[in-house]
Amino acid sequence: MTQLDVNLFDYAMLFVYFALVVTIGVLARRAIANSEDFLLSGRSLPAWVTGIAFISANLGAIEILGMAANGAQYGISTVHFYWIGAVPAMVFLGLVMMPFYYGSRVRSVPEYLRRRFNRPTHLWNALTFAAASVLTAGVNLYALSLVIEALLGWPQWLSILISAVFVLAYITLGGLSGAIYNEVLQFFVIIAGLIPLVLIGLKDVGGWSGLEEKVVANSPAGAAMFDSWGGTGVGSWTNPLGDWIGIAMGLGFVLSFGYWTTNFTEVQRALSAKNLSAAERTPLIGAFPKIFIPALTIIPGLIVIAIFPGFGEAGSGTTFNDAIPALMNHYLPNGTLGIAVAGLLAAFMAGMAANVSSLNTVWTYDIWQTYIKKDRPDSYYLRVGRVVTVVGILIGIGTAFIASQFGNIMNYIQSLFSFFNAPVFATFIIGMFWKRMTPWAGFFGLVSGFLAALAFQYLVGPNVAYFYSGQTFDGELNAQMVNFYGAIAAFVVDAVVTVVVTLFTTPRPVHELKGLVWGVPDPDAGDPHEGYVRKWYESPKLLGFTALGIVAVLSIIFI
Amino acid sequence: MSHHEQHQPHYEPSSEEMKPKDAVESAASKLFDLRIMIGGLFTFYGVALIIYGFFTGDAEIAKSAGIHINLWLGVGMLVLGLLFLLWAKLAPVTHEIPPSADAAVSPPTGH
Repeated sequence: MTQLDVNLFDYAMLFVYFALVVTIGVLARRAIANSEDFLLSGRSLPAWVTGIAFISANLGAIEILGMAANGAQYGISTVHFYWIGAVPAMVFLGLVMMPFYYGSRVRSVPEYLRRRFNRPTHLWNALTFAAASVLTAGVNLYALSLVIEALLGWPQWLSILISAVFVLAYITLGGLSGAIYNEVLQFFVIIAGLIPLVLIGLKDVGGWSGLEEKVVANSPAGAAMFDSWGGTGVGSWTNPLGDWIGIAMGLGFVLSFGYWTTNFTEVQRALSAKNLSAAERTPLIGAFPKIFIPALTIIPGLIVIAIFPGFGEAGSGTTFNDAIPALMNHYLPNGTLGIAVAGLLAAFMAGMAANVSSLNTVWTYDIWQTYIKKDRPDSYYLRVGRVVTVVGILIGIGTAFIASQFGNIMNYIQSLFSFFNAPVFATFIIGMFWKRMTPWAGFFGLVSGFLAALAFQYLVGPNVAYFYSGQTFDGELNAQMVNFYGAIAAFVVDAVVTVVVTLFTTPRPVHELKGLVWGVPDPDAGDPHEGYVRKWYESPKLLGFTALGIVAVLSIIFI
Repeated sequence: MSHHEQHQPHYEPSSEEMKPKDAVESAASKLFDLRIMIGGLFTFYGVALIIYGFFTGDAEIAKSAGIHINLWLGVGMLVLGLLFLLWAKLAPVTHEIPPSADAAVSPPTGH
């Protein structure tokens, strides 16, 4: 990564942005009187805000740099992470699962598990989620310090300290509202920073056809860079993401649904919406930008390959993760550069803030209030929430070094998700639709699924020749494919254990499952849509199926 | 619906029941309108970039493949910023529940 030629004007742009970030935290402070205001925004936000925050919580800088890296390395196949790996799951969350989450008034995903199953299931999920959150926050922080050091020349400790202080300031003051508002702001700034790269880059390489010609000539993968499903045949795969079973079932079904529908960092954004209608629309509104974001991440990755032959390869002195910073340096004049740097730094902070703001909710409500100090006044839990924010950020700083063990950051994140999230979706989907499923089935399903993912990652995957390129041990191990198949293994093991344990244990009586399971409505819950007249364009079905339709059309165009 | 006694130990309280009785009323209705923030920032960035764009030299423009990107990005951000401000003006936030006196941010006294 080369150091950017940042001037005073760029720094002024940055300064204005950071001042606004803190201002948002200070102003959001006025809207906090109780713990639910702090941890769930008082369930008051409009759908467009929660919808953009839903996508923005995932649009951290690691995602942006990592997807551009995938674009440079794997080419168009990277769209699978968006069109197969995200949009269908988001639509499913909005249309099918949100009535259970929002309608049952749970305050977190682990709390749903506590009421549907039992405390051990709840504690397992709450603790693994808390661990994953601080790890991910640490990854963000470490990546941020690397990029700032490379781009602006600041020492790593300084950038870690400064960004941690900013995140700390706006979350301890403004709580989830501070985090969500900054996520929405960050979304627009990062888009404004990425669009110039794509426009200038495409003009420079001679449009789409020029891009295709140059990338095919420069990339070692050749024409496969523009072939999203090529080489995915089972048994003899050559596609960089492996065979179609891994992509469709591992990424598209297990990992994607596990992440988007049960990861509390995401679901929390919907729970902060002001009513069920807004909660249902949260992931659906988020799905539309998600469809088009690959244009802003994958295309820069391809442009880098087109203009710098050999970029990212061993001995070139660059890595694929440098794609976007390299383009910023090559194309952007001062001024626009300031906006792009602001967007990138904002994205790093938002990625970390999203994890910390969901961590403090789970820790306060699901661990502290449920197991450690019950029946305290609400003001006590509000204080706990603030303290956990500080502690979470401190631990995040401590875990930052773990990230340095992994070369491709995206692979690291994906492997984390395959351990924690892959089995969770099996438990949720069976528990939501099969009222006979027992509390202990919930617990043993989750634990066995987690162990299956772990075993597959380290014991099975590396010892099977099929997961190496060329299907022999001489080739390179395909980390993505091991992730995808590991997720499938976790899902299957969880499902089988769930069914077997259910047959030998006692289910909860149906009257305890009101509002939590399909076909068991809660007569006391009232009509969640009461007093709200929905406009035609607010129909979840309309939004959801439109998003799926666009994805289907785009998938055929870029097949 | 059955009411067997042995089911009682399994009962998990809902979040509503776990809430402390002396909970302070929500102040969420005091949250400011984000559209004004986004509109303000983008309007400012837009104007600043357009002005700075007039001082952008030919070498810089050549760097960005002949596109006068400071000017164009500035115009784009200005338009988006003004649209947000217009939206906030045309459809101001309405709160269905009137904020009660309790919702004021007086620090709740500990017990």
